[in-house]
This record gives sequence, structure tokens and C-alpha cells, in this order.
Amino acid sequence: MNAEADDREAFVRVSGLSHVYAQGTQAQVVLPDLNFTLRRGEIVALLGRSGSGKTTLLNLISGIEAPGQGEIEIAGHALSTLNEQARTRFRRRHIGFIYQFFNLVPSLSAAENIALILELNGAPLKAAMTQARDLLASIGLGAKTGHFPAQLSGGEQQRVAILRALAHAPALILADEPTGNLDAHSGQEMLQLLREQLRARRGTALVVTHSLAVARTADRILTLDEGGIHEQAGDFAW
Amino acid sequence: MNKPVTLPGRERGVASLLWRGAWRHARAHRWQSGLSVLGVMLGVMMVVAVDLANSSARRAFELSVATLSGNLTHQIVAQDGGAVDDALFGRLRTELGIQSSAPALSGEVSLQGRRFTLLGLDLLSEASLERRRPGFAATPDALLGLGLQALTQPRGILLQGEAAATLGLAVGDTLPLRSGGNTTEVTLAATLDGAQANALDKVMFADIALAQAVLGRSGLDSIDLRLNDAQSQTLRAWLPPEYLLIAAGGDNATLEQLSQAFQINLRAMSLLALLVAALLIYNTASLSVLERLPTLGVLRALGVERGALLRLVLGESALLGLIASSGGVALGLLLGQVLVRFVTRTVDDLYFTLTVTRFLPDYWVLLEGLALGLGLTVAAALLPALQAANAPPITLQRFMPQEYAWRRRLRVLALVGLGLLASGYALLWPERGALVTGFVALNCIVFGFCLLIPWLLSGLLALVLALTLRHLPQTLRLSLRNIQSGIGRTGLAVAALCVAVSVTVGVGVMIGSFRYTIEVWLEQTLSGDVQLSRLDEGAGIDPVLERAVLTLNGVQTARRHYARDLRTEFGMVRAFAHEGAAAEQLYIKDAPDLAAFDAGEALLLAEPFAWRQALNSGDTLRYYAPDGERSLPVGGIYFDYTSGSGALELPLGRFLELWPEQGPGQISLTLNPNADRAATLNALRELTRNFPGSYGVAANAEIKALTLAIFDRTFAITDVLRLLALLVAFVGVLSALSALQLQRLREYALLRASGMTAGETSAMILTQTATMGLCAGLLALPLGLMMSQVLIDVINRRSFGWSMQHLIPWEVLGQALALALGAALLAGVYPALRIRRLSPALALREE
Amino acid sequence: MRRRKCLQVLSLPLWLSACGEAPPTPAPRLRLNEVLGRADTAGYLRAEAPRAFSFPADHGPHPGFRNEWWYFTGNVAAEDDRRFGYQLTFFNSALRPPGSAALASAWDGERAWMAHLALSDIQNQRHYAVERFSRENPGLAGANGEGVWLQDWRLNFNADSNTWTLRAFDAGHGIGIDFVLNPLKPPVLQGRDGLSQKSPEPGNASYYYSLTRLVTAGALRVNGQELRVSGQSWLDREWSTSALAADQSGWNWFSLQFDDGQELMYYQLLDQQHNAHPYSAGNWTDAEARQTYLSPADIVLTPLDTWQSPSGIAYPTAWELRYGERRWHVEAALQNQWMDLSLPYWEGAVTIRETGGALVGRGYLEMVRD
Repeated sequence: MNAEADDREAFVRVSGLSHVYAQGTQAQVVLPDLNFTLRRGEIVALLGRSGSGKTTLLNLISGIEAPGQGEIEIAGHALSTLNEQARTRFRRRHIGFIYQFFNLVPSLSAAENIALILELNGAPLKAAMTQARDLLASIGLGAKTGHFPAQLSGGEQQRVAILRALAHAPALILADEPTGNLDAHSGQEMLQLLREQLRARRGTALVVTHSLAVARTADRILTLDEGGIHEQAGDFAW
Repeated sequence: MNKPVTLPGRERGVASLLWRGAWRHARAHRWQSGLSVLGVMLGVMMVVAVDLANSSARRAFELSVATLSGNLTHQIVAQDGGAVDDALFGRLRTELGIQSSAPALSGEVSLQGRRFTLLGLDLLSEASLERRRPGFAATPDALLGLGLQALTQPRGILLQGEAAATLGLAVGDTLPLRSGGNTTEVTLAATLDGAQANALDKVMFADIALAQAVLGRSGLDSIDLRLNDAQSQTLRAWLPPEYLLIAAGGDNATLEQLSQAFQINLRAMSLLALLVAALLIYNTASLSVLERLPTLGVLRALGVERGALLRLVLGESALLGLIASSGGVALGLLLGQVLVRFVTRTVDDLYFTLTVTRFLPDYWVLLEGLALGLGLTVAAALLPALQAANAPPITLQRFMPQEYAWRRRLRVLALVGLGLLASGYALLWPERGALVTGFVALNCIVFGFCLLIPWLLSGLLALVLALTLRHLPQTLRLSLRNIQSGIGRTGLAVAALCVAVSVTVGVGVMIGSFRYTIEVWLEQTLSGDVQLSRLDEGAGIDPVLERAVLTLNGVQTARRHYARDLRTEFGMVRAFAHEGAAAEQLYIKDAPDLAAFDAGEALLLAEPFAWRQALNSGDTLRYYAPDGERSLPVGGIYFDYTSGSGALELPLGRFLELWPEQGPGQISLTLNPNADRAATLNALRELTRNFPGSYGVAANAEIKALTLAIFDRTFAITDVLRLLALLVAFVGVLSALSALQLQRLREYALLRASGMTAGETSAMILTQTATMGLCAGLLALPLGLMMSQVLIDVINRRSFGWSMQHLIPWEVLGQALALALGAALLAGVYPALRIRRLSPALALREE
Repeated sequence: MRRRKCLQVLSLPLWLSACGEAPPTPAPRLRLNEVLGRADTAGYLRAEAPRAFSFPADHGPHPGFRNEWWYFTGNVAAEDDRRFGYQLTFFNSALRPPGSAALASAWDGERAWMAHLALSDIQNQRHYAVERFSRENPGLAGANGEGVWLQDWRLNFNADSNTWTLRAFDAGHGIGIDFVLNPLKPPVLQGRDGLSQKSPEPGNASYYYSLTRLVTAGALRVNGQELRVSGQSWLDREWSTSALAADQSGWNWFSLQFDDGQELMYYQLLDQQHNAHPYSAGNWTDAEARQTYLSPADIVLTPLDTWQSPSGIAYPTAWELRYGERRWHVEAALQNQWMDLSLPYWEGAVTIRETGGALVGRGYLEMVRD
């Protein structure tokens, strides 16, 4: 298989996607008619104002919600053909999520949080724990494997969260304002780590942010507004 | 990382790390988990203990009945309810040669202050009757041996080994047996041992000659028989007319029914406690789910399937249920031993001397308790587990206002509740239903009301908020709003507290009403000031003594009372007769034709007897006189709480026509208003000592006090259970409210951060729990009264045939309010203390 | 004689261990010496000197003594010559000396009663034995000048016609007798003028007489079936307060009725080694009712065959009996005529044959072992 050729193929294809929330009796259009693609191995930033529907888009791509209209295809899998349970299993295996508020499981240690996703994907507990500890050690958190989320700083939590998102080698990483809750320095560190990890694994990622600084670290920048999604060619004033 | 995309298979179990997390969560909330375990434990303990006590009592009862009647088919009894002539047995054996026959005589004796049933036996006859008697499963040969020994040791008695040991008696000891005021010296000839001898721990055996001598009686209670059809025909033809051949064991059915009814009452109470415990589990489980909603959302986002979360929560509850139920069963076993004493004592006081007071654990009951506790825990956790399974993935949670959904649910719940209430009352519509339906109805009413509570609470709070507008201080309004906005949780806690407290109200009101009824009844039925009675069964007061009493200084008038056992178409009934008009002697319930009674043309029935036999005024009752059958119309019904198997009132003329020789068993004396009561009583007592037989002299006040003391003793067990139900409720409230408050700690921290002092925050928490306690207490009052109404008018009526006056003992209501408030306040203490130690920074840290 | 199973019950073991659910223990047995050898004789009359017998009064009870019995045995045959042996015995024993303190009860009484009924169905090789016990009062058992009864079992004596009637049925075993008996000879006083000394100590004796030949006819029920039967019976009457000495352990008792109209009674007391005791004695009654006292020197008894009882005791069921020059074989008509009762013993019908094998009479044999 030719990797170069692969890279040019559309790995995630979103076509004709729109979503509507019912609020009381009024229907509120959250996403208009969206069309875009992500190629394998590329890191794409998605810029947009609050309320522009970025999070909803992530929910749709990860299969947490089913779209009102349109199709999402990931690695040739049309999500519309999967039911809720199948989408859950799809998500478990093929999606890695990074959140603004880290969302680590508070009753599990750093290593356990990472091991959990491995165990969910069928690894025996012992192997999962070993792998999780190794991963933490590889990013310099070897001393904190047994710490609980409440005992970690925000930056540390987010680094654990990145490892959790990547540990099971998912097809697609979705990040929702990953630096939103971090100071500038931690944010930079975090992005650095994410990039390194993604590059090392040739991972595909969609990073939602409203920070231009974050967006600039991406291969490509998309912007989302009421009109739809647009490719951002170069710098622009926010 | 770019592998072909495939879907993993379905999850079957639950990832071990999820269990680990759940365990850590429970451990971190050990206060809450512990209370929850404790609540279920107490609930299961009550059910098991009551069940054990009941089943022990039931088995004891069966053994007792069997001990007293054995495997007989027939009995010969005297038609007039008196003694069977001794010589009749001699004639029966020599003329008819019926070998399977034995004389029977029993009476109460006391030894070292303990009551025993003395059974007089002719063991040689027993050997040929081959009566099956638990604990006395001796072979005919062994009986023969014992019988021969009994004849050579005419003053020997047999006692169950352990009973003898308890009394510190050894074989060969001489014992003074008291009966009817006489003491007879007997010897402990032997003790009975063996597995089944338990049945005999309140029975004493003696040769029939000794029994007659000890009891001061001649004649027999009955001749007991095991006959085939041909024999019974021959015997019937041969039997002199003053005797009846009746089927054996007929009276036992009634007794059995009575004791069952009593046990069902107890069981109802234990089930109510379990209902409270179930509410508690539901509450704990759903709070724990609510609390973990974000975590569950993360797990959902990570791709944990719904089924796994369902299994996780159910599994947690099952484990909790297992721990709690095992503990509950163990505690129940202990408590059961205490309760069985209460139960048998109550049955004793109410019905007859139970011969067995041993604790006989029934292992099925233990298993049942375990299954019940476990099943209930899992069932109660089902809804929260579904809630967990449906937890939205974390990214969606900000769009889901949890409490919003509750508002809509309140109305649905209230409607279901109303439906349950209505069907509960519909079930009670027919006057004579089964006892079980009564209990089903009671549960419908309680549960229905329970479902109404969140809606009522919400309405109540809205009303208070609307009415007070700005008059309330801000913190108080905030407290009330908090309750309202968290109605899903607060409503539940209030409902649990309300049900628990209402149980105490319902039972308290029932017992209070009953006690009051007894007082009124005693007032009505005890005529005169002092009662003089002959204590020897069947004997009347010596006429010479009667005359002497009347000349006594201070005695103004006397009124005679008579009593005998009368054989009626419904079996043996205690027949009473009095001098004077009925209205002066009886607490009449309903008597359309009292004049007919006073004219001697009708009889009156005691209410329980009338109820059990479904007799009403206007019906006719047949009874047997020595010269044949008679019948009289029922002129009315009077209240009677003396229990026993049945009682009726004959016009005095009719009574004396049946038993012309019968002297009055009791005389009520009216004293001169200015007589020295103590001196008169002493003079009376002195006087009775000069006459043979034993007499009792008691002032009405003493009788009342004694009766009420027995009443209180009888209902002591219900008090114990009430207390336990209360404990369960208290634990429930403590857990529900404190969990609620702990969950809001962050919110409170926010308030602290925005300038509220620690004191103010604590005060707010306490106000909130107190308000909830008060609401629960207030709502418990109507529910408790509804419950007491069902208990009084349905459950007790169907069980005992008693009707009672309704009395609302205000102190019970006050106690209930205080209890609810106290429990609620106490539940607020821990969170209030926590908030003082909490840094306001907490509020700002993660969010 | 026969020192009998009159019940002396004070020393009976207690069977309380049989209570409860344990498997029933075997029927406990009365111990012979405890029954007849009791030393506690205060308050009772004793057989210390010969007395004047007076009939029919002495057919009735003698309440001053501790024990008394009426003992019928006999051989009868149905019309088809089906042969039966029977036994009906009434025993009574005082519970306390006469006139001592009583309980205030109609059930109180001074004496206890026991009766044995046995039937040997020779042809069908079946033996039945039943016992009954009863207290005396109220009217349950007793004796008077007209007869003796234990509940519905009774014997009556009619002095005018010198007739005895026996009536006893047991539904459980399907057996019973309803007999009329007429004595052919006057009463035979056993021992010394009716005083039968059983051991050296004065008073260890009984008053003892027999009716050695009673013509018997009536109805017999066996296996639920009623048969007309006739034959001959023997009555032993004995009353005493104490009898056996410590060194005595049982006896063999023969009551033999020869076809030539003579009778032989002989009891052989056994010592603790089961050898003949010197106080054994007997009586020969000829056809004219003349009597000859027999001492151990007159009779030689040799066991020929034994039957082993389930309790382990071997009872000799065939004997050679020598009286002077005469010798007979006395053989059980049925090997198993064991009385499996509270006090077990062997008692049954026997045949008497001469050495040549000719049948010369019938009788009853009783063997009691401690």
C-alpha cells in the first residue's frame, strides 16, 4: 500500500451535514449544510465563535449524536448505517477524545484512566496497566502514575487525557478546546505533546479551538460560522 | 495507527477498572454507603426477626395444640359443659371395651411462681390409645412402664428436663404445687428429654388421680378417643344422654386463626419497615448515580455501552444488598429470639397458655430474608441503574437540565399515587374481606400517598414562597427554592421520612385508641366498687359467705354475676349472666331489642364471637341444655375484649334454668360513699379466709390497673417494632438528607465565595433539612391517621372481631413531628459542619 | 405353684430415653427377682402357716396379700379335631399396703391389674399372646365373690352351678375365648395343706390350690374366625406376699392331664446355675382325687430338646419325666409358644407319650428364666 497515495485520500468525509435542536416549540438550526474532508495523518484546526456549533459537530463526528441530515464517513464507514450501540462501540475503538475540562474519571488514577480505554478495547488489565505506565513514563509523568486526577495539575491532567485519547491507537482524535483551561505555558506544552504524539503515530486529528495561536500549529485551518465551513488560506484578523 | 476500520464486539461484562472505580467511589462516600447498608440491614433484620418469631410462635402453637389434643378423632364431653363423670370411663372400657380411649384432665398450676398446664393422664390408657403427642413419642411399651411407675409413685410428676433444670429441680425433689389456693406436695419422678420434648416446657404430667387431687376436682374434661366409624356408631348409641360425642380438635381451628391474625399484624409492620428500607436504597442508589453523572458521561463518551453501566449499578446494589441482607439476617436471628418471647407472651395473654416458649429457628425464613433483602435492593436500584445507563455522554450534559424533567414527572407520579390510593380504598369497600386484602389495601394506600408526596411538597413550597413573597429572609427563601429545585431528590427523602414516621403514627394511634376503648369498656362493665370472686374454676361463692359479706360494715349493695361454659352450635362458649339490667352491666354496641333480653327472651353476643360466626341481631343461636337443645334469638351485640374463643350473655333466668345449682362466680359490691375502703377490703379478705376454696377481692381501680398493665405488656412488641421502624426511618432520612447536602457542598462553597459567612451557610443547610423534616412530619400525620383507620377498622376487625373507639392521642402526633424534625435536623449537622471546614476556593477550582 | 409375673413395678427402669424421635428401644422386661423377691413386706399378710380353705369364698380375692392370680390353661379341639391350647390369666398386685393414705380422687386405688391371653393354633403352627394392664378405679378392674375382670376381659364364678365362665377377646390379634368350665374334681390343695413353701425363710410361701380338671366348652376366635370347641382346662390359684429367695432364678412347671383321669403337677425351682432347687415340689392326683405329695426325690426330669428364643434363652421343649418306674416324653405341641410380653416366658400346650410313642395325655408346660 502506498502511504503517500493514502495521505491524499479523504479519511473523514462530511457531506451535506446539518443539525437542528428543538428548543421549546422553536427549532434552532445549529449546523447548516456542511461539507468538508480530512485526510489521513493531517491535523486540522476548526475555528469558530462560541455557539457556532463546534461541539455539536464533534458530537456528530464521534457518533454521540446522530445528525439530522447528511452523512459522516470515517475510513469508509458511514455513521448513519450504525445504531446507537454500534456507534458507541465505534467510538470506543476508533475515536480518541480530548476535552477542555480533561474529564478524567476521578476515582481512577492517572495510569488507570489510560488503562481503562485499553481494557475496554479488550486488553487484559495487567497488560493495560503496564502499557499505561510506560506511556506516562515516556512523557515524563512516570512518578505520577498512581496519582488521582484531583492530585494532578491542570497541565498534567490534560497530558494524561492526551495519552488516554491516543493509547488505543484510534483512527481519529477529536479535541475540544484542549488548551482552553490551561495557562499559556501549559497550553504550549500540551500542544507540543499532542503534535509529537500525532506525528509519531501518523494520527489524524480535528482540533476545535477559538485560539488562533492554537490553530496555527495545525496543518490546515477550517472556520465554522452560520454560513458553513470554510478553508482558511492564511492569516486573518479574528 | 491506520488500520482497517472494524467494529469491536459487544461488551459482555464490566471492565474491572470500572468496578475498581465504583468501589473507590463507594469508599469515598462511605458515610452514605454505610447508612444505606445499615438501613437495609435494619429492614431485613426486622422482617427476619418478626418472621422467625412468628414461625417459632406458629410452630410452638401447633406443637401446643398437638400436645394438648394429639391424634384423636373424637371426644366425649358433658353436654352442659361440666365435668365428665369418672365412672363413665370405667363403663366405657368394661362395657364397650374400646381400647383407644383415655381420660383427659388439665388445669393450671403454679410452681415457684411459674405457670404450668398440669395434664392428668392415665398412662396405661394412653398406651392403648397410642396418642401421638409431640415430645412424648414414647412407645406403648414405654408408656406402660411409665404408667406402672406412676401407679407405684402416686405423688410423682413428670417435667421437661430443661424446665426442671431452670427451676433448679432434680429427680426426687419434693415440690409444692399451687392450684386454686391449695398447695399439694408432689415429687419430681422423672424428666422428659429428647428433641421434641421442647413441646412440653410448660406442661407437667401427673397421674390422673394426682391431677384431680392437686386441682381439687372430680370428673374429667373429656374422654379422648380414636375411633373408626363402626365404633363411633356403637358409642353414640351407648352414650348416656347427658354426654356428647364430638369430633376432636374442633376448637383448635379458631385458636389457630386468631394467632395467625396476630402474626399477620406483626408481619405487616415489618414489611412497612422494609418498604422504608427500599425507599432508602432507591434514594441512595439514585443519588449516587446523580452524583456520578459526569463520570458516567465520560464513560459513555469513551464508548462504554449502556448495558455495562446498567450492570455496574445493579452489581453495586446487589453487593450492597448482599452485605446488608447477610448482616440483617444475622441480627434478625438475634432479635428474633427476643421477639419470640414477646409473641408467645402476647398469644398467651390473649388466648391461652402456650406450652412452648422456645425459639425454633426456621432456616427457610433466613433464606427468605436474604432473598428479600437482596431482591429488594436490586429492584430498588433498577430505576437508578436505568438512569445511569441513559446518562448522556459528557459533551451533551450541559444541555440536559435534570430537574426540569422532574417537574413533569411529579404530575405523573401524583396521578399514579391517586390511582393507588383509590384502588386501596376500593379494596376495603366490602365489610368482610380477607385479611390479606386488608393488607394489600394498606400497602396501596401507603405507597399511593408516598407517590403524591413530591407533588404535594412542591406545591406546598410554591405556596409558601408565593405567600411570603419578600417577607422571608433571603437565606430562607433560598433554602426553600433549593428544596424545590431539587424536588426529585428532596421529594424522595421527604417521602421516605414521611412513610417511616407515619408508621409510628398509625400504630401509635391504633394502640392508643385500643387502650382508650379498653378503659371505657372497663368503666362500663365493672359495676359497683369492689369485686369478690371465687377463683376455683366452675365453683360459686359460698352462700354463707355471701350473706356474711352483705352484713359487713361499709357494704351497701351487692350484685351477682354468673359464668359457665355453654355448648352451642358453634362449640363451647363462655356464658355469662348478671343481676340487673343489661345496660348497666355491659358496654352495648348495638341492641335493637334490649328489652327482649331483659325480659329473658333473647341473648346478647360478645362482638368478637358475633363477628367470627357472622351473627347479627335477629339471628337465632342454638345451645344445649341437659334436657335437650334450646334456641334464643340474638337481641344485640356488646363490646367485649376478653378474647377467648367466644362469649355470650344469657338472661339470668335462662342461665339459672340451665344450672339451677350454680352459685355466682362473682359479686360486685357497692360501698357506702363514706366507708373506709381499705378497711372494708381488708375485712372482706379476712372474711373469705374462713371459707374453703380460694377467693379474690379487688377494688375496681386495681382491676383496671392490672388489665391495662396486661394490655401494655401485650403490646410491648408492637412498641419494639415501632421503635425499630423508626430507627430505619431515621437512618433513611439521615442518609438521604446528608447525601443531598453533601452533594451541594460545591454550591455552598460558591455562596461562601460570594460573601456568605460559614455560619450563614450552616444555618441555611439546617433550615433546609428542618423544613424537609417538618414537611415530612406534617404529611405523616394524615398518612398515619389513614393508616390507623385501616388498622383499626379493617385489620384488627378482620383479625380479632374487635371494634374500637377512635381516639387521637395528641402526644403521638407531637412525637411524630418532633421525630421528623429531629431526624432531619440531625441529618443536616454533618454537612453543616463540613461546610465550615470547606474552603470557598473549592468553588472556583474546577469550574 | 408358680411364683408369677405378678407385677411389682417400683423398680421398673424408666424408659424416658425412648421419648423423642430416637428409634423405640425394645420393650423393657420385668425382672423376676424384683417382682417376686421383694423384702418390703410391711403392712401385708403373709403365708406363714396352713389355713382353712373355704369354697366358694376362696375362689374370690384375698386383699391383704400383695399378689394374687387366677391362672387358666387348657387343651381344646374343634369339631374337626383342630387342636388349640389356651391360657387366660388375671394377676393383681398391691401398690401399697391396704388401708394406707389415699389421694382424693376416684382414680386412686390400692391395686394394679395385669392379664394375659394366649392361644396356640397347633395345626397352623401359630401362637398368639396379648397382655393388658389396668388400674383398679374407677371400676376398671377388680375381683369379688362373683368373678374377676380387667376391663372387658372377665371370668365369672357361679357358686350354685359350680360353673366358671371365661370371656376375653382381642381385636388387634383377632383372638378370643368365650368358655364355660365345670370342675370334675374338688380343689386340690398344693404344698402342705395349701401352704406352698418356696424357700426356707418363713413367709416366703403362697397359699396355693388347683382345679386339676375342668370340662371346657364354648367358642374360640382365631384369625378372626369363630369355632365351637371343647376340651379340658386347669386352674391354678395362688396368693402370697413374697416367694422367691435370692438364690432362685426361675422354674419349670408341669400340669399334666392323663387320659386315664389322673393328673400330675410338678414345679422344679431353679437355682442361679439353673439346677434343680431343693424346694421344688409337686402333687399326684388319681382318678378318685386322692393326692400324693411329690418331692424332688420322686421326680427325675431330663431335657431332650431345646428351643432358642429370640431373647437368647434356650427353653427345653421336650422332656423325659420319670416318676418311680413310670416314664413319659412330654413334648411341646408347638415349639414357639413364647410369651413375648413385658415379662417374657415360655408357656404352652404339651403332649404326653409313653416310651412306645402312644399318646396318653395332654397338659401345659411353663418355663420361666430370670
